[in-house]
Amino acid sequence: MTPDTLIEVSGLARDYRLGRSTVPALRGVDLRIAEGEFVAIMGPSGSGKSTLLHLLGGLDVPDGGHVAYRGLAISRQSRDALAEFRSRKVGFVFQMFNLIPTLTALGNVELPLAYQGVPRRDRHRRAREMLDSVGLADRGHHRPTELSGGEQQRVAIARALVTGPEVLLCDEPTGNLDSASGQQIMGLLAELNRERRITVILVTHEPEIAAFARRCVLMRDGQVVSDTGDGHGGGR
Amino acid sequence: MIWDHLLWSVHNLRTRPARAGLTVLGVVVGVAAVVALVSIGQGLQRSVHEEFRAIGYNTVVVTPGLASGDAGSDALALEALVGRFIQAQPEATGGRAAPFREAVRRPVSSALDEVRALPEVARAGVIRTEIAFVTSAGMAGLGVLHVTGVSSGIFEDFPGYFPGFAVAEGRCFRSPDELSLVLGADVARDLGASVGSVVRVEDQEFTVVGILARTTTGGVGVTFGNLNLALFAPIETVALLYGNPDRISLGLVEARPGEDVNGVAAAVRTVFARSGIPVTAVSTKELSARITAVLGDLQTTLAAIAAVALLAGGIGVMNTMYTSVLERTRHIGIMKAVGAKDRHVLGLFLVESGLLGLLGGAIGTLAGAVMSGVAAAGVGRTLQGASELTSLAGGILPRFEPWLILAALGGSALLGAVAGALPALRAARLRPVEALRHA
Repeated sequence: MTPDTLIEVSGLARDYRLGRSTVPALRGVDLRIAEGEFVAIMGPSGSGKSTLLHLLGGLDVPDGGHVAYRGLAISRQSRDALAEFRSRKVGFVFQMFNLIPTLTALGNVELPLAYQGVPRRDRHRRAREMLDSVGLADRGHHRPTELSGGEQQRVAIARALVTGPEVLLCDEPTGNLDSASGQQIMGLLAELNRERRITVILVTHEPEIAAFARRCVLMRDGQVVSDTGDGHGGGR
Repeated sequence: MIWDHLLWSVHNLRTRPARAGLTVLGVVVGVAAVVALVSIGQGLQRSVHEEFRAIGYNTVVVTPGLASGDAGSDALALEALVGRFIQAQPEATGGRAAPFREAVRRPVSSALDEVRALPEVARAGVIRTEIAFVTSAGMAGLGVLHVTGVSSGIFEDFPGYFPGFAVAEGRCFRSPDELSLVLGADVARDLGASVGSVVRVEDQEFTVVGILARTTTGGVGVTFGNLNLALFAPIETVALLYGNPDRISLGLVEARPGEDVNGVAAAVRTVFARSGIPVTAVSTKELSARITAVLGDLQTTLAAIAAVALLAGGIGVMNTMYTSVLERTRHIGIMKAVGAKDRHVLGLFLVESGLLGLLGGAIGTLAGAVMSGVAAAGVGRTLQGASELTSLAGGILPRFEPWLILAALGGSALLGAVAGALPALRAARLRPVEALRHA
């Protein structure tokens, strides 16, 4: 049985304006990602891999081509619909953790639920459970600055997971961590992919991190130059 | 969600206490100024109303001036009236001010008798105030006082015009032309006079027949003024002393129950006009409405000027919110990445700026209350002992209507939200990717 296509990208283009000149970040990317895949997007810096990730998650809007999520063109949606998509379907994990410093770990994990309109008590319970599942049950009332890098990233993963997303988009999630913490985070992501069937798309330039994935997409100058899978759940 | 916004806003404001405090202070200054001015104005209007009500709303007030009837003279007469009531200044002595000299003049007393005879009139009285040089055996030198001639029975007929009037020693006048004086408590003390003493007014010797109880009731100048400084004599005696028996400072005419007060006013004008005494006659109700309208306009103007300070406070809120949005650009990106819609971001910043306004409003209202209290007390001290104006002090009690407090709080929250609208819109419209890239 071939798993369903989750994300389909065709002819995707995105330009950045630097002063008066336009720099193309993506020039015609085609990609298909199936449900349950663990994909690493690799490439040198400036190759457009982060831009691609942002477009996949509806954080940005393409200048050409389109992104279809389960057959629905998210690149043509309204701002509110995109926010709804980010809220329900996607979890983001960033290199810089991107926790809100004035909120506690628990407060950060609760935040996405607040935007979904989940009642306060449910929010609390679900955030607590999620922190527990990433091994931070006793750190809920700490602020990000009181946590180590690895702990902060686990809070960020808990925040990404708390809404029960279908896909986790990770932008260099280990880039700011020592290798031990990095291994721990990658182990967590691999486990989520394996046990919960969450699709994980990961941007990295470290081969040992990419090795956790079962499929590797290599980019250069805004284009896909090699792909070890075909978007049908295949790959290595 | 609004509750979450509120909690997060409090949280955010507390992370920058100095900035939040200074922004709030900007609003406080404006709100305090408006609240203080409006509450003093309200108090003043209220006092005017209450003093007129004490005199009675079925009463006509007669003042010397142009014969009333046409609109132009009415405006002038009103000016004279307002001047009379606000400043409580007597006309210059001599009675040469009246511009009408054509008609044959008859004494005020005969006009008064005619007014009293009108079927629609219940009672009537007049007073005439002159500046008097006063000497007495109990005092060295010379006193310059106001001597007030009163028609007989006026104290009993119009007690509302003489709040706190009570004869402590001796008696009141018995006949309209006796050479007697009734003294206010302070005047009696300063002249060293008691019942039976002889006091010389101008060149005429008078006998003190009564001394008034000390009063603490004050007014805003609608009623007689400070009774402690009063020197009363029968009006016909004053007319004999100063001449010009057609002179009048003020008349009061009470309509019989059920009678049209404005009709009585017209009848009174006619009677005085026939006697060659041009007067203005206006009902207390009308007069009260006109004076409070003038005060209302004044208050609106002052409050509008104070509102400029409020505008500056609003600009302060806007500035703070722009800074805050800039500072938290990355946070806005994070919020959007985890699913916040534009309206969530908008709501957060609007609540935050509204909260700054509301805080300013709450503190400003309190500060305004303190300010108006201090101002009223200060005016009181300044005017103490300053002639009839003394009575002004006791009259101004700042008034805080519930609507004023609600308007101050609601208005300042609204001011904050409006001032924060543009920064909040900017925050809401930020594109998530660009916001996240912000340092």
